[in-house]
Amino acid sequence: MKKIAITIGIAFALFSCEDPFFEDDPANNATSNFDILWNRMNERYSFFEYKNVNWDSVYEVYRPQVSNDMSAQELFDVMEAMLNTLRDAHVNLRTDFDISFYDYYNDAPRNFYFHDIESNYLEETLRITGRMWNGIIDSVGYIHYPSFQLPIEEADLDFVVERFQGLKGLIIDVRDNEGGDPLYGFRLARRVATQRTHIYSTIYKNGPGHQDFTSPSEAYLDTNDEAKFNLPVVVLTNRVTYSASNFFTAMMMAIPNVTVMGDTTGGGGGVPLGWELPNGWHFNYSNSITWMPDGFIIEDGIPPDIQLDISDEDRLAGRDTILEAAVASFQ
Amino acid sequence: MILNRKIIRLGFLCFLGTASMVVKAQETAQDSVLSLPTTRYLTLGIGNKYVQLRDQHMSPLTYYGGAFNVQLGAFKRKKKSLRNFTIDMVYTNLGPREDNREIDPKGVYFRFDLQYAQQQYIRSFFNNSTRWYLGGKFKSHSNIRMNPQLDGGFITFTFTNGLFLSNVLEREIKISGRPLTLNWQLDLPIVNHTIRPDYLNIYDFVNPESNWVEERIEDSKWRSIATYSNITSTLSLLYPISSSNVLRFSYEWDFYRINSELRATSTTHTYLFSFLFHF
Repeated sequence: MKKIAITIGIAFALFSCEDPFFEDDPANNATSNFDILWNRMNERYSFFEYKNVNWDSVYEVYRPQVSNDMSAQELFDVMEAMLNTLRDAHVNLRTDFDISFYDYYNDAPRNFYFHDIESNYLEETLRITGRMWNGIIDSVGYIHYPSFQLPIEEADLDFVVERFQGLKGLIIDVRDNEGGDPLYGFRLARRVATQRTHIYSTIYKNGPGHQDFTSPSEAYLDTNDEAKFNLPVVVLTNRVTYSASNFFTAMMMAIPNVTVMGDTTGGGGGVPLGWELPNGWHFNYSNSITWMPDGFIIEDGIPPDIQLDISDEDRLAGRDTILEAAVASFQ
Repeated sequence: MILNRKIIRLGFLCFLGTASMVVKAQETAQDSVLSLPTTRYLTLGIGNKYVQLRDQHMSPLTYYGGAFNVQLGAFKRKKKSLRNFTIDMVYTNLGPREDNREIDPKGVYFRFDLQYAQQQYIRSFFNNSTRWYLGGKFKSHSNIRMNPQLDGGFITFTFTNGLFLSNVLEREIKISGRPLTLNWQLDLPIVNHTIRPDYLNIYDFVNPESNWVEERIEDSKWRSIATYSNITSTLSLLYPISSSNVLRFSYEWDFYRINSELRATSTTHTYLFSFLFHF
């Protein structure tokens, strides 16, 4: 009997011994959710130093506004206000009724009206190859790539490269392109680059301290045997150009014979990672810092080589003066 | 979730039953290790695995889930040694326990384990009725978790390859006059080579054409028991049937914790019915 009791005791110990290894789930109330959000950002967000944000002071401002009897909408509003102090559109809180979003472009000139380009510049030359809207304006090739969420295939590029052979130049228009997968930027840029090019360097957050980062990893644009444009290139940007599109602008600026015209890009230079809160809401935050070969950090946007805006008068006349300047640069 | 708790309780009762049989059968078994013939089996096991996982890469919450489990393998018993090879696969959905959440978080979990264990006979106890084997085990473990709602953090993973100290206590018992074998195996880690991302996930958004394998190898670390604890306890009851084939019921408790900057802790409870085909 004693042996049976010992065996049962050992068995109990074996089965229950995992409980001490698992901490209890955090409480699901407003204050707990707020604190977990603030803490995760405090430990994992990458741009506190760069943006000179005192996150402790932010806590002092917003934490007193949170109480456990507030509604979900009220809690969301406080969290959104806190997160927007980071001025980062890669920081989003997602719920079943709303998504927080930092508006990085509404105060900037619009600078892009594709309907005018279609009607007044491309006319019958317009083709839609894969996801690239392309045409020819005064012997200059034009590609509008509306979103990096839309795949660019090598076969699409083969067609466009072939179509533009012998022209004076190439315009790649990423205005209003809010990003997606940078892979397609690599595919497009590789058709421009003729040699292996260092495009940017990145460090990733790897610890709880504001300065805990990995050592820099350098990204290169490798060339391959695919057909090249072999043309001088102008990239058109506006303030909506963001995230993967911002990275694309950075990689294009590293290539010789490429000029960027338009407005400063919207930024988005941190890789967004996600996490969740005890109430099931989830959020993403920038987790890295990327800089161009000259050391310029791309988080807040990349200034163009030539700053241009479309005036209201030109807009009303259906003119895209940024596009016109790009075409003229090849004449 | 309630069903899984019932399964755990059922498994617990089975464990208690088999454990008490060990004690009760002490006086009945008289086998000697030297009388055991060399036998070889191919094994096919099916059962249920219940997963409990907290990974700070994903969430502050503990995720739970049960899954259909398949195990393939081979088992060889020689006069003074045991050899066991298994491949174990699990695919399931995980989620935190219900707590009136605004949104119900979900995740997909895939796990693959490949193990090879070899133990040598050391000595017998209790009038040769209980045999002790001691040896080593190699275990390759992979698990991938996907939480699609988590944007760029939607995939996390852990790959480990490790060497373990492997103990087996084996005892012959009789139920209704039929000889059965009760086997308890306990594996403790010696050293592990672990790949677990510190900062990024399976996809490099900044440099999607980077050499992913090379980067992960650079990230990999050798871990001792202090930074990677993995304990596996397996209790099996083997029941001979016709043509020298064997049925096996086993319960396995597996625990691991990675003490990295973002800690992961996991336990699994596995109940498995296996057919051992003699060849």
